Amino acid sequence: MTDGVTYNPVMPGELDRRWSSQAAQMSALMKSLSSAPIGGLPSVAVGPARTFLASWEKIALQAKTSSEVYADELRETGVSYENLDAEVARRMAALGGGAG
Amino acid sequence: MGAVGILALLLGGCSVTPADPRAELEARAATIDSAAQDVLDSLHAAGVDEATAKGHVDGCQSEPAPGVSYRAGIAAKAGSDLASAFDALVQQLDASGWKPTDAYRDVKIDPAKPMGRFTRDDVTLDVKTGGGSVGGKWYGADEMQLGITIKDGCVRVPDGGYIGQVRDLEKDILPRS
Amino acid sequence: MTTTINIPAVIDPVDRPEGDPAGSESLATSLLSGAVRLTEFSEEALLLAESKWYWAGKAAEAYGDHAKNFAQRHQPMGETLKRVARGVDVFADQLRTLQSDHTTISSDITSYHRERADLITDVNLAGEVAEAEIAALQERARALTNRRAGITTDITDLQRRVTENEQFLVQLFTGADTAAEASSPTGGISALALGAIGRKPSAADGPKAMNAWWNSLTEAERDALIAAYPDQLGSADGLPASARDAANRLRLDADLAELEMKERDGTLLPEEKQRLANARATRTALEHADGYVVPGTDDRPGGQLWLYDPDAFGGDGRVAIAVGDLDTADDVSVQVPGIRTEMDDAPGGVDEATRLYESARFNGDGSSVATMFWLGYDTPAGDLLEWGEVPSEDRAADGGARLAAAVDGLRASRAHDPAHMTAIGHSYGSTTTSYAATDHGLAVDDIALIGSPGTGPADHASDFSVGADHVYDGRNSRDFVAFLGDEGWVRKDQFFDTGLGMDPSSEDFGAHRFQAESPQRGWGPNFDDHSRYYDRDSESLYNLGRIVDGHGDDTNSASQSYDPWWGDPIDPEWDRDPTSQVPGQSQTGLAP
Repeated sequence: MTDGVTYNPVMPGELDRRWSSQAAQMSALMKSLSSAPIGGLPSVAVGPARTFLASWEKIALQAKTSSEVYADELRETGVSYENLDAEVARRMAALGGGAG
Repeated sequence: MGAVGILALLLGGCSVTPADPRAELEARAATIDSAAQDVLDSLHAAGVDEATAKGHVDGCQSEPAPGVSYRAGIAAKAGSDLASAFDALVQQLDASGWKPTDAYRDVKIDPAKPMGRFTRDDVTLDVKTGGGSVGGKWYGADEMQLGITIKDGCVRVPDGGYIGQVRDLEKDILPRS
Repeated sequence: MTTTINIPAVIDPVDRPEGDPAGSESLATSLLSGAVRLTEFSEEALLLAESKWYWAGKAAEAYGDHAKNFAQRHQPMGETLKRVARGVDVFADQLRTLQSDHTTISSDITSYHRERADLITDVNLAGEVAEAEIAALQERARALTNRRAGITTDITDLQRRVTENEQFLVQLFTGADTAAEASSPTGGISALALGAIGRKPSAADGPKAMNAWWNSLTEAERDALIAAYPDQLGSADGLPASARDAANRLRLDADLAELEMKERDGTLLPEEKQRLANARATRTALEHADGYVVPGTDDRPGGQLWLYDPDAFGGDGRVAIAVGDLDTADDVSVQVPGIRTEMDDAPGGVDEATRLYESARFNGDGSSVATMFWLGYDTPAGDLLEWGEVPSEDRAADGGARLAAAVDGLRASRAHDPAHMTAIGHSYGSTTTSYAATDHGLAVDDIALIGSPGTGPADHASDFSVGADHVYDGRNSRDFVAFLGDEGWVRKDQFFDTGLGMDPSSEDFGAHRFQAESPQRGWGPNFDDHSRYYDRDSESLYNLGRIVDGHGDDTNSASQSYDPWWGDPIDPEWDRDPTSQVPGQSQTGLAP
């Protein structure tokens, strides 16, 4: 049993914005990794460098995707809370009259 | 020295950092560069060609009263007869308003490698010949070395590595074409 | 009768070590920016996971747990990528050295072949020759054989080092190319480094122990350690300067990459602003040291970042930059600055070091020189200037211990090849130097004090570790601060502790006073004349140069000041005409 629910309507927008910004950071990281200059390396290191960069690009991609998911989920959460709130308000209004 | 004496000293103060040190430095650099170009002309007239001139930025005065100064240096190939080249230059310098000083009166000067100091308005020109040894290696044995500085050349600057901001004033000084 | 002369074989050409150092360094820079981005990402992720969003309940809890887990998984990744970046930098540095060695070996081979061809020609031309000539040819052949053996050893050695360097690089990549390795706390640290760091002694064990540990390591282990643990090596007393310099440059680059990115993104915290200013000042100063060429010559000594500690003393910072090579120079000087000097003043300090270098080399005995600007203690803020208060001696006492430790570290780093060392203390730094020399056995050979407000605990030059004969003093007669020192009759305890000890230019102190006047000097005592001791073409810089070069006996003496019982102290230098640019007295470099 929880201590109840507190909800701040500003929250989803704020978190959505910041997680989206995180996703953009990881997007930039992916770009920089994919174009990282390996021309100066000796030939024996080129293969391992490529594997390395590809792995980290994948790590960045996963982080980007996760960030986008967080952003989406939180936006949806906001919408759900709004909807629930509105629904309950409607039902209250439909009861008619006062208490008792 | 009594305590009163110390207080009196405290009132002596120190020089003030100008509002725009860079502008001050640039103004002095302009005067020095112009003088350097005059000297390049004099060298040319004296038959000494192949001269290169450079403007240098130096720190002067350490913390807690840091400053920056600008000077010019010229290296000129004068051949094997440095004394004649020197004399020829002195004539040209005289003709363009430089006055000799007795700055080297106490120095034992080798007549084959003369030196002298000259002033014109606020600018001082030092002329030495025959080069010198740095790290055990001799440089400029057939050259004249000339240095140009200005009176009150040290410009007070604020703390915090200001000298890095004025290094771009260093340059190759070209003769007036 | 025919005699056979054995001519050694040709030497096959050697392949140039593969790769481009500058290109590799751009990869390192690229990876470093990526690392900064990742670190910021994980820090932000942690913030976003916290439940301060006025959102509570099961959903909030579930989100919080999930996001916290996510953030923590990403935390070590930035560090791992940073280590790989540093490793690539270390690889590039070593590659540069190896390519330079290869060039040397190639030219050795060329000259070997030339000599060999000459010998063959001479042998073929020799018809009927005397014994003596045959012997001479055989001797040449023998010498050539030895030469070939030497070159072959160099080649084998080079090839081994190239292979080690390449293996180090490959392992950097293969050791950090999975998600598990990326998020491991030791991600990007090579097995070599992990093994070697365990045997590192603590600083408390002293610089000799540190030096012994470093000498026990292979070149590959050292490179791996510098890449993986630069923070632990940059200030390790006892390590050679080249190692400290490599570690500190990596740390400086990392700081600049991180903080400049934050500045661009607008996320720089207030406490990080000073750190960034300190890092930038260090970069400016180091660039000047690296690029400095002695005017009128082709002498380019290079710079070394011996100490880099931008957060020390609440942001005042500690830094030490040398001009020249501290590991190999015949003459090494340590310049200790005074009041108000802070890390962002490093560019001015390095400029002084270049002028001192120039002066020591000008008309010098040809010995190699390294001059180091050392800001390794907490200087007073300059109350003297603002409030007329004399700073207390506490910082000098603390600084003295630090200075002595730094010099011990320098000594231990080249015990087999000691330098002639000079410590130069200016202003409050001279009091610091006095503490080091009186209470901590400062292990230099010569000491020069300039613009000194007092010698702290020492009453006489013989109280110093170097002995009275190796103590020098320069005092500009208009230097205000120098008046604070006692002259003899006037003792500091008589005047509520004003002053910081004895005036070293006084007769009573018994040091060698040298000329330190300036044609720019003021009428009366002032602060500008407190600061002219390192000016180019000044009497003071001339004499300091002679001392640093190991020729203190060749300085131009000045009469000591003295305190007659019947009046104020007298400084005979007050009336002498100052000089500048005069050969043998105040010329410190070639004119251009």
